[in-house]
Amino acid sequence: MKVLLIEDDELLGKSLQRGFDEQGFDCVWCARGMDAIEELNQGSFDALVLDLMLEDMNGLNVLTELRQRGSSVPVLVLTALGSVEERVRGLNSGADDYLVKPFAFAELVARLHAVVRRTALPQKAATELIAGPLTLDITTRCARRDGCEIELTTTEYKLLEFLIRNSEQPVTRRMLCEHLWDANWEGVTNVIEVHINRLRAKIDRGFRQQLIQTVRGIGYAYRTK
Amino acid sequence: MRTGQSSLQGIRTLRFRLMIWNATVVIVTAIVTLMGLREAVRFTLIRELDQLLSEDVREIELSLVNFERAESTELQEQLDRKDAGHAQHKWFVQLINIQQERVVYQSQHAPHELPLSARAALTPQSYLQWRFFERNVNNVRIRIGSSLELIRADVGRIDRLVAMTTGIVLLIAPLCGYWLAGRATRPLNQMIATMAGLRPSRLDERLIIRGTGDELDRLSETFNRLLDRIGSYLQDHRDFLANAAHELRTPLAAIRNSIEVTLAKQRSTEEYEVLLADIEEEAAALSLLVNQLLLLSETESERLRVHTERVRLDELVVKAVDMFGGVAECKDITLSTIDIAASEIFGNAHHLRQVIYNLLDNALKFTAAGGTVAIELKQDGQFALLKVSDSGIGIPEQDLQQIFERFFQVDRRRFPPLDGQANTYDKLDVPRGSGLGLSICRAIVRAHEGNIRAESQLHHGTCIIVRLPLAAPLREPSKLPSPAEMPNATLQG
Repeated sequence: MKVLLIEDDELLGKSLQRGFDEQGFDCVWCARGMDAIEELNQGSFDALVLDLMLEDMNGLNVLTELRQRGSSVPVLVLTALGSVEERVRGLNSGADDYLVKPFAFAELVARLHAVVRRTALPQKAATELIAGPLTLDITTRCARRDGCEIELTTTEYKLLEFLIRNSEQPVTRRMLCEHLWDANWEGVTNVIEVHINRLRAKIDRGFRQQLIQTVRGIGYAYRTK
Repeated sequence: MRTGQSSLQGIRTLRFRLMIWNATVVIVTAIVTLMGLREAVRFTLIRELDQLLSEDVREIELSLVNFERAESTELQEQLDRKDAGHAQHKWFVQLINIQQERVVYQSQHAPHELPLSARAALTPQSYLQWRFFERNVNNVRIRIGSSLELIRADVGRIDRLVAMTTGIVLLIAPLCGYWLAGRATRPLNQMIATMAGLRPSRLDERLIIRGTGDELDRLSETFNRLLDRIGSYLQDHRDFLANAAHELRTPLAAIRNSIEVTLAKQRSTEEYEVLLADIEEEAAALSLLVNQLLLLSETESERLRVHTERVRLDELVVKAVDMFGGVAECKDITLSTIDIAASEIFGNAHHLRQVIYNLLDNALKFTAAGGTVAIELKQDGQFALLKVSDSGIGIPEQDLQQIFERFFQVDRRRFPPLDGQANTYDKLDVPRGSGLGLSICRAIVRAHEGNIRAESQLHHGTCIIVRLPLAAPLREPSKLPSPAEMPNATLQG
């Protein structure tokens, strides 16, 4: 995956680039908005990680410029401004996701994977999601594993659907929280774990292959391999 | 240019305007009074003259009746005598034969220009400078009059006096007015000087209260109270900053310490992993604190007003209950909803969610296994009432007033024991919080023009009550579905 990182903070930029490299990404790092626009002129990228406060311009300008050219490259915005207006403004300008500093690197990688996947696979109007041994019926909101019908509550269904749509990639607890309840709850209490456990009890209990796996320090992943 | 501006400023001063009003009122009053007086004097003089003339008419009328004929010499002699007596007033008498339109007798000052009207005028008449009465006796018209010149001369003297006095008043009134206005506005100038010297960093100075109890004193008092409030507000913010910095120190110190210890000597990979995981945990705590501080300052500066929308509070509650349902189950606490009324309020959904989460999180944290947490949303007139009650350890009475203060935390070690049992607080596995949760709630609720309060019974439970003003209903309120009809309304726990 080729990522363009636009971040003017020396320390953060350096560590992010190293992190991306170690993840096996091909990362180009620009500290200035002008350089980033030049990079975008020269090559194509799979994703952009964009800091909103750059030395030479507002990161939103880069984003607007990009969208005006008709590019649909997924953009993940980094911002130190936590206020609601800023977030809304970023998303309205065409960002696919945002992260407020300080954030965990694992969070950034998981979200990057999610936005790339979301934009790469246009949502087909399928009525079923098939992921390994499990089939998820979108209309009836029922799951089926090896021929057994599994009834799901609304929360469980939304949880499973999100995991399957990001299958093989870890998703963080925060991403799940945001997806399920539009919540960015940072409280100490781990609110997602019980729902995951309940879902596991329904779809994984009694099977040798565990589809929902815990990824230490990050969250959970739906894996069929 | 500068002089023009400063003179304009001089004209704009309150002192100048007071002077103008003052002088205008004095001058107008003086002129009206003097003119009134002049008219009164003129009127009185003419009345006096009329009185005399009417008496004379009556006398001559009687004489004429007595002597029967106007040509009587005795009558004319009597009239001559009377004329001589009144000569200085230019008094006159005329006897006119009406049928022949012939003057039978007239005294030496009698004017010739007076016309002879068909009927005798019974009321006093003025013609040119003459004032006269007429009366008919048989065929003779008696006309008695006098010149008004003397009266006019008197009135003329009064007029000169009025003009002189007016001139003096015109000169003196503005000067006195300016002086008086200066006296009246002097305290204002002192106030301006004091206020000009105030700096945000040094707000201890106060305006002097002169003790007269007038408007200026009241203004000073009001301003002093404003200064008090600004002062305490600033102090509050200074404390907040100091507290925040202080709170940030602890996790920072932990991080630095961990790093130093890690780097102090060569270690195995496992050791490094454990120590780095510690650092990450500390850093996460630091991020949480910073985010909470930001949220607090964001709401306290009421910036959320910029971003408001219609928010379905009941939907937020239902979602929050769904979200925390798992945690409650895990801790073996019954989380229930009592009555969730469809309530729409005007505000910031992102912030309102934080309120509900914080309250539920607190309730679950301070309730032991087997307990209950209940959330209720109902309407009370123009307000939505959100109640989160638990059967937890409660809050000591002396702390109840402070739980909404920033950084306040109930002291775990001094938590009152229950009937010789172990400390109920210690039995709960409560992670150390930032002490900001409830203050964030209060800031958000206040920014929504609501209020929040707590009721608590030690060892029996706490109830937090939030009151938020409802949004005015849209034109079709029937369109709001009740929570039961909502697709996401799965209540659990």
